[in-house]
Amino acid sequence: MANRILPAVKRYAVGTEPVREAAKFWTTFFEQAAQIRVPTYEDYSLHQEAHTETGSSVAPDSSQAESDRATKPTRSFNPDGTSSEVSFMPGQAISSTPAATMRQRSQRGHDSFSRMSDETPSWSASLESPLIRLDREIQSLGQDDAVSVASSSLAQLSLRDDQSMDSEADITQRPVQQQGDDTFLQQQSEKSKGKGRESSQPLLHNVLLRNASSVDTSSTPGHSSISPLKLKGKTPILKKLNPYLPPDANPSDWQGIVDLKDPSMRSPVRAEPSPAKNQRFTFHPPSTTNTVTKANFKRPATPRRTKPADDDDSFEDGFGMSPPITMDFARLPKLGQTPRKEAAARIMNKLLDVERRGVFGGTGSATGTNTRAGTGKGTTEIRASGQTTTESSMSSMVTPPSLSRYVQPAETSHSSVVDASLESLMRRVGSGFDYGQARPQASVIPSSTSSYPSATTIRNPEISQASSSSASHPTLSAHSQPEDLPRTPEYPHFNMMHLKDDELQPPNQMDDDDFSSDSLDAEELNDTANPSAAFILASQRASYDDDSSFESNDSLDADDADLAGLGLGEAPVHPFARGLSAEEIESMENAGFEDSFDDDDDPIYAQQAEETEEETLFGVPPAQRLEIQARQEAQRQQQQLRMLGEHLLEDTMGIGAQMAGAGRIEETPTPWMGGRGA
Amino acid sequence: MENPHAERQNVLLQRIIKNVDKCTENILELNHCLDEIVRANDRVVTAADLVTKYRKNVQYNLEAMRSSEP
Repeated sequence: MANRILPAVKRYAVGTEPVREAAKFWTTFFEQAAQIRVPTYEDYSLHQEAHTETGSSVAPDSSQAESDRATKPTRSFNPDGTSSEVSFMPGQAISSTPAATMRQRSQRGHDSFSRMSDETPSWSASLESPLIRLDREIQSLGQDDAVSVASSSLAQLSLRDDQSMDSEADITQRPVQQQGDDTFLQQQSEKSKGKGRESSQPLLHNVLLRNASSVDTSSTPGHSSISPLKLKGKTPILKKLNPYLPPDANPSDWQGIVDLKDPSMRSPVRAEPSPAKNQRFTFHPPSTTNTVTKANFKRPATPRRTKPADDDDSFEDGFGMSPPITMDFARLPKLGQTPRKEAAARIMNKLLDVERRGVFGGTGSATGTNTRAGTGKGTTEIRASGQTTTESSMSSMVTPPSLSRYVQPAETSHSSVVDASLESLMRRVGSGFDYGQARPQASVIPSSTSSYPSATTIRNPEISQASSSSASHPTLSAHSQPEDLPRTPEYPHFNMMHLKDDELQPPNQMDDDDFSSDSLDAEELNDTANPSAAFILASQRASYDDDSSFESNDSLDADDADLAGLGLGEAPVHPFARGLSAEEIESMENAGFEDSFDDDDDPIYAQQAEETEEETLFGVPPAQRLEIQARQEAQRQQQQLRMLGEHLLEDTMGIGAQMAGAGRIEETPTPWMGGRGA
Repeated sequence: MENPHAERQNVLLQRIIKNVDKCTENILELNHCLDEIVRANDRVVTAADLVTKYRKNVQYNLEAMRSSEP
């Protein structure tokens, strides 16, 4: 389990990387646009660490906030108390844990102090004074423009909440409070938003609500006094600071409707005084400068931040171009890069790394050779995966094995065979992506699924190789052929099996390898019906390969009982399609997989051959994709190893004999089979 | 010797303990990875929310502009 689940999870993480980067990009974009700061875990930690402008006391406090809570409150509060200016907000925002707790308290103060006290009994003493101070500060600030200060303090508190207390409870409280909010509450909620991820939800809601409200009502991205970037949480936008407010217009008269088509409105003049802006800039850490510049660059409507003196013309001309903004230009293209490409590139790199490390887990007995071969093939695999990257990043990520490996089935290393199968799988998956949409998020799933087929193909070659007699193949083929007759293509059958057939195969073959995610995914896709059908076929085939397969199966048996079970599931499937290799069948039998598969399912599935691809939310279902690809592969190549389906076919054609020599193929970590029990 | 099977049992227990420890470590690692993933997902959720809010606001403003146009 650990050997398969963990790699699968890590692959998922890798696959979602593009999505995360995109999300990060957009969050910074919106933050700049709205001059707010959306709290996130990263922000929180970065905030603490990067916060040095306000003061050494703050910085050390923030850095140690989590560790040294007791002493923090006083220190963290110093900046807050001392500086009422906007610039100091960041310092407060950093807020060591004590500060955070204090903020919580202040926030809670409205909600219920009791709650706070319950949650942070230990800090009550230390937080008392800072909390009180904060409350006073907030009170004073609540009425004027320096709302940000309060919000920052709140943010700090909320941050603290996350860290120190069970922020969850606090968070839930906060949103409730905020909703009933008045200005002060809103501020508090905003601050709480600045907190870590735990509180991010309620905070986020508040932030978003405020964003929505601010946009709807004021549509003023700029915030008056607080350095927007540094400040955590939302800072209310003062009326007079409304960038969209027509000059010399009464802020109260602002209708809240901004004519976006009006060029003059696009570049709202910042009412903030330049000092405030300067403060903002000075406070911002490098990251914030980027955001500032980005905001300026991105949206013409964003108030100009760079220079208050700039008029709209200059802003429009250069989009508020300033040296920092140019940085954004350089960065933007990078960010704007299609996630797919980035993901594809990343995935390929990761595949290479994984390949080198032994994609097949290297834990199984047979994985040793495969690992070695896998590493060698990693490069080729990457290339092969590269082919599919265009189609979808998923495929590239999934299968380390390379097609080149498969080209030479008779090679000593099983991995070569496996690679070929994996590669074919990848191709199949890649082609499958054509139907589906290779979205970054979706890619993760398909990639994982694609890995399954590759894994299965890898095992198939191994299994087939394990089988000694090629004669078994003819028999198998004979067997499989009749099976195939009722069904058009094997793949459709697989599809009917809920995309499990192919996936079943890999689990079977993957006995050696420990699949982490493969089993998980396979489980999702596999139906019990598949095993039954596959089992029947497998049993049929097994009879032919008893002698040979047993030997090979022994190695398989040792791997995983689960795998064997899966293998059984696969075997029946394969026989239908092409007939499982002797090894597969044997492995299945050895596993003692259920013998009571319903034959009814097989014919039913056979009839339902699905040639078309069913699309799921994330594109063509992996199994289906693989099947389709396998079909394509089978048509395309006569290599020893094919996609899962192909693999079987090859075996029946006598190619399996070649694979037999290769021995058991290491299981691919691709989570093909869910039944692995991993 | 009180328990003739004690020795063998101890050996087996040691193995069990070792495997369980391995599992524990793996699970912890898994949790760690999942936690990171969840963190990333939150950011994605945030971004998505921002986008939807932005669009909603823009839509609202446009509607308002259209209504206010003479």
